[in-house]
Amino acid sequence: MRRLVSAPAAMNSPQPVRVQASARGRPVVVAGERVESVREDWLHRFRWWTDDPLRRHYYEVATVTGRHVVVFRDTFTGRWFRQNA
Amino acid sequence: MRRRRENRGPLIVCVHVPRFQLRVACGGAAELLGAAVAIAPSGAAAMRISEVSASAQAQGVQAGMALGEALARCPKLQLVPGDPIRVEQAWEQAVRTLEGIGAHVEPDRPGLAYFDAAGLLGMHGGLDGVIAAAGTALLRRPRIGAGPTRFCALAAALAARPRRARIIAECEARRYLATQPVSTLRHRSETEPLVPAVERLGISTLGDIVKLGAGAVADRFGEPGTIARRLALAHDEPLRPRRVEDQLTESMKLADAGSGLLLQRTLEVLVNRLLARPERRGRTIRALILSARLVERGTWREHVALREAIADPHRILLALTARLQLLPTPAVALELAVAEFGPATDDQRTLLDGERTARDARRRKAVGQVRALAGPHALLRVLVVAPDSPLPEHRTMSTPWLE
Repeated sequence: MRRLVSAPAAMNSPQPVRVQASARGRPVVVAGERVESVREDWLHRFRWWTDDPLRRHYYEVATVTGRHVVVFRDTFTGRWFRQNA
Repeated sequence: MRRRRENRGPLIVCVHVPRFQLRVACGGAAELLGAAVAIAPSGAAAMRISEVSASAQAQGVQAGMALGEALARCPKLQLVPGDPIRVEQAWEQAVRTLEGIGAHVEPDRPGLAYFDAAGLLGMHGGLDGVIAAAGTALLRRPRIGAGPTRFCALAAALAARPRRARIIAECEARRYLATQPVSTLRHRSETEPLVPAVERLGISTLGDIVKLGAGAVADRFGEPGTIARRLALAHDEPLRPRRVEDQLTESMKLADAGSGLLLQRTLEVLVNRLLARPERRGRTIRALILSARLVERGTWREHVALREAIADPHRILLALTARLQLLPTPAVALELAVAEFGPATDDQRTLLDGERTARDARRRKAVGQVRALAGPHALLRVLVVAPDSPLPEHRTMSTPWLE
């Protein structure tokens, strides 16, 4: 029997995305689409009291094709992810 | 020691692993060598220590002693937090290993189990073969005793040395029990409260209890005394082996140190997942085990017996949610396991027949068809777990759709 969907899991997990950033660290190209404007950005510091802290800098951007995308940079690893926030 | 059976009555084997909980909590028997160690009092109970190492015992510390008294007797006493989840897992594994040699096991507290060897003699080539198989299977150097009753086997196991089982024949059971200390009664929950009172009166052996006479014992010690005398006379209840059940467990890590709403929502996901497991085969659930790994070191475990066997997620959740209040500290992981199944049933508590019932039946049929086509996880629903979490991936989860 073919299983059409995955097992129950957490939803909206971050997905890796290719991002080019400016010298100031702001995204300029997201998944091959140039960023028209950064609508909003915010910083999350989470689980800072544990051995496994999280620190993410989120950006809500509008691309030249008119899409609105939320990406964040893990400030510990420098990797970029896409997520619906 | 007798190696030959003299009759065809029950032949109970007792397997005793001393200090089982302490060994698991310390990570092995080697860590206990020469160290005065005890399991620290748990948050919910009174400030009394649990199992103690041999070194601590030699310095006058006993299990169940008040923490202050234990530290006064042994200032170098080290306390380790209990780990009921790991203890339960290790004990379950040990019992299943015993069941693997063909035994119908009646598990007592962790570290103590009984089975009737009468049906296994042919399979393992006699009682020695059964005992050797049990000792080899457990790998924890158990003390093994055998006798005509459960209590007699227990007394023999407590007196046995590692790798040398003690076997008591039926004809010598009373004589053997008469020489055993009254502290043996501590290992039975019905007679445990009796021991301090008996010892204060200078009664040191089980034979002394028998000599008091049935009337005097009943008058002075009540029902526990009557039971103790019956046990000392080699009369005991028959074994009640457990039924071998499927192990159904669901667990989930909590991203934030969980408490309040997050815990409740996570529990809801676990209940739904458990009920959606195909291994349940439509059976209802009679009892569950709710456990948690705590933020601070240690674990927490609660056995929840439902008033009746049900498979209704809302009613199960109602029973479990109340127990969450007993968590001593926030948790980092939650686990839910089925302890006992009830009979299989499809429709429960249908009060009204009519259009709604027909619609529900149609929906159940549709759900069944979709699952048959696309697998058990084909239908999911989105559950808001922690709506206020700053991390988007923690706010919602997908959980099985239950009709």
